[in-house]
Amino acid sequence: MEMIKTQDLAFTYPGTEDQVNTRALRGVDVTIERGSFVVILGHNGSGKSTLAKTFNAVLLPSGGKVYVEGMDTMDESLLLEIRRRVGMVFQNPDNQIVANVVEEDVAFAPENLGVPSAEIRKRVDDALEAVGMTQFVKHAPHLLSGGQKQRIAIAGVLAMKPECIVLDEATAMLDPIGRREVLAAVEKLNREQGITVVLITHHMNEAEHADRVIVMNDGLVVMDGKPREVFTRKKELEDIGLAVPDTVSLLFSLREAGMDVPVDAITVEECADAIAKNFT
Amino acid sequence: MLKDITLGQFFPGDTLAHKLDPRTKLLVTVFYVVALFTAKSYIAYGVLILTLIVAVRISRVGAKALFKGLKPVLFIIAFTALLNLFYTPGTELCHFWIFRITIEGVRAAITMMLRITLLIMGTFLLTYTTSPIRLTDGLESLLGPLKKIKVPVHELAMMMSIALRFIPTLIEETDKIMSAQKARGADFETGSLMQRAKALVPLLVPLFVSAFRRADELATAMECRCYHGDEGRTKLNVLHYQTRDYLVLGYYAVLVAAVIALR
Repeated sequence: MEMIKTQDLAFTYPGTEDQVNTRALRGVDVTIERGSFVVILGHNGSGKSTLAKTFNAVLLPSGGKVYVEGMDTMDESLLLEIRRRVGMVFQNPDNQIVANVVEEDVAFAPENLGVPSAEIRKRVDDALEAVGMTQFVKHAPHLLSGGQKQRIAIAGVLAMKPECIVLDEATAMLDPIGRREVLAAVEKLNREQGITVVLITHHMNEAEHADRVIVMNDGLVVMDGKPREVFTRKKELEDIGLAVPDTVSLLFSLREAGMDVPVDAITVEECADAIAKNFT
Repeated sequence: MLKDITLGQFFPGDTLAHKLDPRTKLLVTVFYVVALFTAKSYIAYGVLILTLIVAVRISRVGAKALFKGLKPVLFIIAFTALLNLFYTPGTELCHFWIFRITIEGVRAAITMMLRITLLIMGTFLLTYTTSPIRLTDGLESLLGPLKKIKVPVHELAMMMSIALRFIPTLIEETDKIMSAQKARGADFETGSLMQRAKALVPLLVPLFVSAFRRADELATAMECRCYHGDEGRTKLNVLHYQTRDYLVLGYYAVLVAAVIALR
C-alpha cells in the first residue's frame, strides 16, 4: 500500500518566480510504500529537503499533487490528520525542542492533539522507551548530547503515533556517535513497529540499510532503486556531485587494479568478505 | 562565564513548600503582599514576620540565599528609609543642620524597610520553591478566566515557557560568538563604557539574526507537531488542588482578613 504519493510535483519558492531555473522541484513522481525504509540522497540544492517538506504540508505544491494515504495535502481541513500521520524531524535539534523538561517536550504533540492526560503519560513513556531515553525523562534537554537531543525529537514525533517519520537531514549536525545512535533508533522503529521511514541525507553510508534509494538532482529524481543498484553507478553519481560509499569506492579501485571483486558489496562486512574471497 | 547566570533561581526540593500547587503559592504570595501593605499595627507585622519565618523553615531554603536576593535592592531600601526618616512631618525627636527627625519619621522608615524586605523575601521564596514550568502552568491556569475577555493567556504562557527554554541555548550561542569575535581581536573587557557598548554591536547582530532563524525553525517544528493554539489542548501534568492547598489558602485568607480588620 502506498503511504505517500506525489504526482508531477513542482515547487517554486515564493519571490523567485520571475527568475529562470529557480524551480526547486520540477515534476517529481515518487511513491513511498508503507513500512519501507527510503533514503533520499542529493547534494545541497538538489531539492531533497523541499521534497521532504511537501510530505506533511509544511510546503504546499505549486504544481501537481501530494497524497498522504490518499489525502490531498492541499485540503486544509485534513491538515492535522496529515501532520499526525507524517511526523518530521529537522536538522537542528535545539530548534525543535519546545519544553525545558524532556517529558514535557515529548508530550507536546499529544497535548496539541487533545489526547487525555493518562494516555499522554503512556505515550511519553512508550516513545522514550522506543528511542532508549527512558532514564532522561526529567532531564533538561539543553544538557543532553546532540544524538540524545535528536532522539528526544524522534520520541516527540513518535508520541503522535505516526505512520511515517521523515528525517530531514536529522543527522547532519551530529558527530559519528550521535549519528549512529539516531540511525539505530530509526532502524529499530522501522523494523519493530513497521513505521515508514524517509531519511533525507547526503551521507552515502547511511543508505546501506535502506530498502530503496532515491537520488535527486536539480529538482528531479535521477535514480531510484535498491542501494546496491544505485551505488554501482559510480560515474553517474560522481557527475552530480555525490560520492559512492567508501566500500564501493574501494571495490572499484581494486577492480581497476585487476582484482576480480564484485562492486555491489555495500556494507563493511560484505566488502571484507568479497575481498577475502580473492585470497583464498 | 555567562553560564553562571540563573533566572528565577529554583532550588529543587521535596518539602511541603515545593509540593504545593503553584496556583496556591501564587495566590498566597498575592495575599501576603496585600497584607503587608495594609498592615498598620505591630501585632500585624509580628504575625507577618512569623509567617515568613515559618514558611522559610518549611521550605528549607537557606537564610543565606534569601538575604543574597536582597543585595541588589539594598540601596533602594536604604534610600526609601532615609527619605521617610527625614521628610515625615510630626513630633520632633531631634534635629541637626537642615534635617529634622520625627517620631513618625522613624516609625515610617522602619515600616517601609520591613515592608520592602518582607515583600522581596516573600516573592523570592515563591521562585525558590517553584520551577519555572510549574509557575507558568499556574499563571496560565489562574489567568484562565481572562480568556473570556480575549486576553491571549495561553499564548503568553507559551511565549514565557519558550523564552525560558531558549535562555540556556542563547547564552551558549553568545559565548560562542564572543569567543569567535575575541579570536579575531575583539575586545569586550577594556575601554570606556561607550567603547564597551560599541564592542557589543558585532556580538548582538549575529545573535539577533540567529534568534530569528531559530524562531522560524521552531515555529515550523511546532506546526509539524500539530500545534494549533490552545483549542482542544490537553496537558500531561494537570494541576489539582489538594487538602494541603486548601489549608494553606485558608490560613492566608484569614491572615489578610485579620490584618484588614485590625487597621
